[in-house]
Amino acid sequence: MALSSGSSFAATINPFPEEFNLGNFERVLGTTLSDGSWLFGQQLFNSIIVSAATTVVGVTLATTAAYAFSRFRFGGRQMLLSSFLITQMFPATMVMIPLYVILDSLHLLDTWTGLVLVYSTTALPFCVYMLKGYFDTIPTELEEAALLDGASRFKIFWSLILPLARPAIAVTALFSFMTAWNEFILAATFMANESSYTLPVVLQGYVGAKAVDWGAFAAGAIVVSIPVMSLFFMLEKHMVSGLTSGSVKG
Amino acid sequence: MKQNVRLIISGIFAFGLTYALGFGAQSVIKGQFEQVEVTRAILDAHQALKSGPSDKQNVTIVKETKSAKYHFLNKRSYEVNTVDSTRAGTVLTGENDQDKARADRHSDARRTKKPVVQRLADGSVRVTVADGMKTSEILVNESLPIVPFSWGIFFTISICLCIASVFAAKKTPVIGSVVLLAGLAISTSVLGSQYLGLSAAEASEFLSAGGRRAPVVGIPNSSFWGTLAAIYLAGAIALVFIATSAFERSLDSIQRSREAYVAISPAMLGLFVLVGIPFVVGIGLAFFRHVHGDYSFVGLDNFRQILTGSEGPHSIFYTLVVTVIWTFLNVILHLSVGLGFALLLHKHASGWTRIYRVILIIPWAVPAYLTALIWRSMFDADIGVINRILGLEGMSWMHDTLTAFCANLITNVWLGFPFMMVVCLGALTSIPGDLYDAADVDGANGWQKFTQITLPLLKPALLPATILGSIWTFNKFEVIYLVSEGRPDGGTDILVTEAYRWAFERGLAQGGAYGKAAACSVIIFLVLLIYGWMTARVSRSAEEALR
Repeated sequence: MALSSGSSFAATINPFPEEFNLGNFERVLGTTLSDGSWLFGQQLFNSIIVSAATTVVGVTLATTAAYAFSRFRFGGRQMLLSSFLITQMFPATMVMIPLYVILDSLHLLDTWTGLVLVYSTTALPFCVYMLKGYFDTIPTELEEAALLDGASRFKIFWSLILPLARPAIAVTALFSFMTAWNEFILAATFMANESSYTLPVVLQGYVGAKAVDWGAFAAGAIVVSIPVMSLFFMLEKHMVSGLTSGSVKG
Repeated sequence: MKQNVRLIISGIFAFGLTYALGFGAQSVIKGQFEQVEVTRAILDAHQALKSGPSDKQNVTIVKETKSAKYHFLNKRSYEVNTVDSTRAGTVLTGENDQDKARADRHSDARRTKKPVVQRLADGSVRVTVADGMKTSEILVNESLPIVPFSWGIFFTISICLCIASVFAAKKTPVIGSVVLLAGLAISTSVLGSQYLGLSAAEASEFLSAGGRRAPVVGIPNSSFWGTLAAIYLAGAIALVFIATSAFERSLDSIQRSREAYVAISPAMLGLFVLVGIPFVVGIGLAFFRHVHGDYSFVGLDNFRQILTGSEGPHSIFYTLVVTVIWTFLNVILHLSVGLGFALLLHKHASGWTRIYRVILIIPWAVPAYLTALIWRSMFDADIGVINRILGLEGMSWMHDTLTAFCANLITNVWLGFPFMMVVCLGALTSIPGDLYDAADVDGANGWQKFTQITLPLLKPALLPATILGSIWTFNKFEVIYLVSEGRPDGGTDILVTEAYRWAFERGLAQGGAYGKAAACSVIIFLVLLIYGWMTARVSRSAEEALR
């Protein structure tokens, strides 16, 4: 854990800094645009919005799709399922250029919408794969009983299944959030100017070609990691049981 | 009513299929046309060589011909003869850059005995050919009509297909076939005349006027016929499909599973547009050559160049081996370390355990590139922490392939074990404790309990995670690129960093060798596909065994 805070990059073994100074934190948190508006705040806001939206969109799409895959048998089901795995196999760096062209033609470059859409679809395969496994473990008797009582599919989904699947959904939400929050390459490519950057791109900016602003970099790294780690801590119980139940039964 | 709806749907289906194919065919044909232009210019240049003067010294002749009737005869030709032996084989010194460039082209043509072809910014083609000491150059600045495939052709074919499919679906295939054939005949003749750029009468006039061989453009080459054949074949398949009951059955099943399709449609749409299309484009790109925004079809050339050539001291097979070893070692270490920690943390559910679990998640929570950069500087020869601890100050990790590989390995294991740990933790909690109690009663020791109970029951949980993990590791770009940067000399590069280098580091003269990068990615994909297919069989048999 070499994230020693504050001072310049120390080559010491001791992870605790010799002089604890918050100057670097001030520098990172206090960047401003030329007109004085709080740049870091804007970028933080970008990251939050994009990650939150990705989580919502990703969870929605993944749960509906996974439920359909789990409960229905329809033409092309097996093929689509394996396509989820196959799309993971193509190196992400190579789809960057076609993605750029597609977003450009949809006029979604440099917008939150474009980034959210891309992130959601990137996280989808893993989320659907896992959620489907979890849904498979929920016995169908409950739903059949509800169907007999005359409930619509949607009501079953909303009131019955979702509460049961809370752990897996927690994992999905966390994974989507993490994908969007930590993602760097696509954000750097699709976002055009400083005020629309997300935090990972900002961090990258501190790593210059020749000299690395280690102090600011380390401070920034800590700031960026805090939200994810706190989410982890909160959801830790759910997450462990969520990941397992999906995988054990396949 | 239903029947009509189905007919309309089948017609639209046939229309759409032809339309899509036509779109693709256009770009292929365009590439072929450019090739044809170049060939034509070469022929003209050779002709000028044969008919030009041969005993002038260091003369540049500018000949200009214009023809109102045959627009493809417009050209300006320069002729540079160097008979003077003292000049032979040396570059002509010109007064300005243009002369020098021209002299260079001519001496290149003489030296390599092959035509020097240049495509200029305004679309014209300049060709320099040599025959012994004589050279000649042609600038063709009136290009052929670029896209002879007019949309009219495709409308014709598509409408014919639609009408034909309607009649075929109504079980009168005779009329359907007649309409289809008529449509194909009309479109072929329209197409053919457009391709030639001349009517049949004009073509024969040209032949007799110049006494030369017919221009190459008059002979559509194999890819033209191939594309046309593909379109017609697709149309025929669509027709057969519609005429038989297969289409009706598909429509039926869609009707029945309506709910399911509605449920998955948003996800699938997003996946198709934002993942599927780039995927297909990426694969297609591997068959093209990119030069500053121009894409030309080169078939399997990119693959041949990658598989046989090598940039730097290592061939691609070396890189493949490095990638496989990298993946294998990583997955094994991830599993061992993850499983080890999971076993340790599994038993005691105290508060400390929770904190340990969160701490051990940190490697996964911190963005990968951050971790890679920090580890890179920890491995630094002079100020790095690792060397300080080990007392090896000054030793560079990146100069030897083995140590650089180890540096990458350590970083990636640190990055990746939390995922395995969490999966193992979860799977461990699902193993019922009674099994262990029963084993205790039977007198089994710790090792036996581990190998006979724990491992087999963990397998179903670990298999998907392992498969996914190995696919991710195979394509792990950030660690290799940021920690060892492929040093020394590309010795630690894996396939995905190779692909990146093709796109953004090599081939900069042509604006990025995207074609080769895409070809490299296709190779990666194929390797992983084979791997996925093999593991699918393994995982399916494992599931059977458990039941």
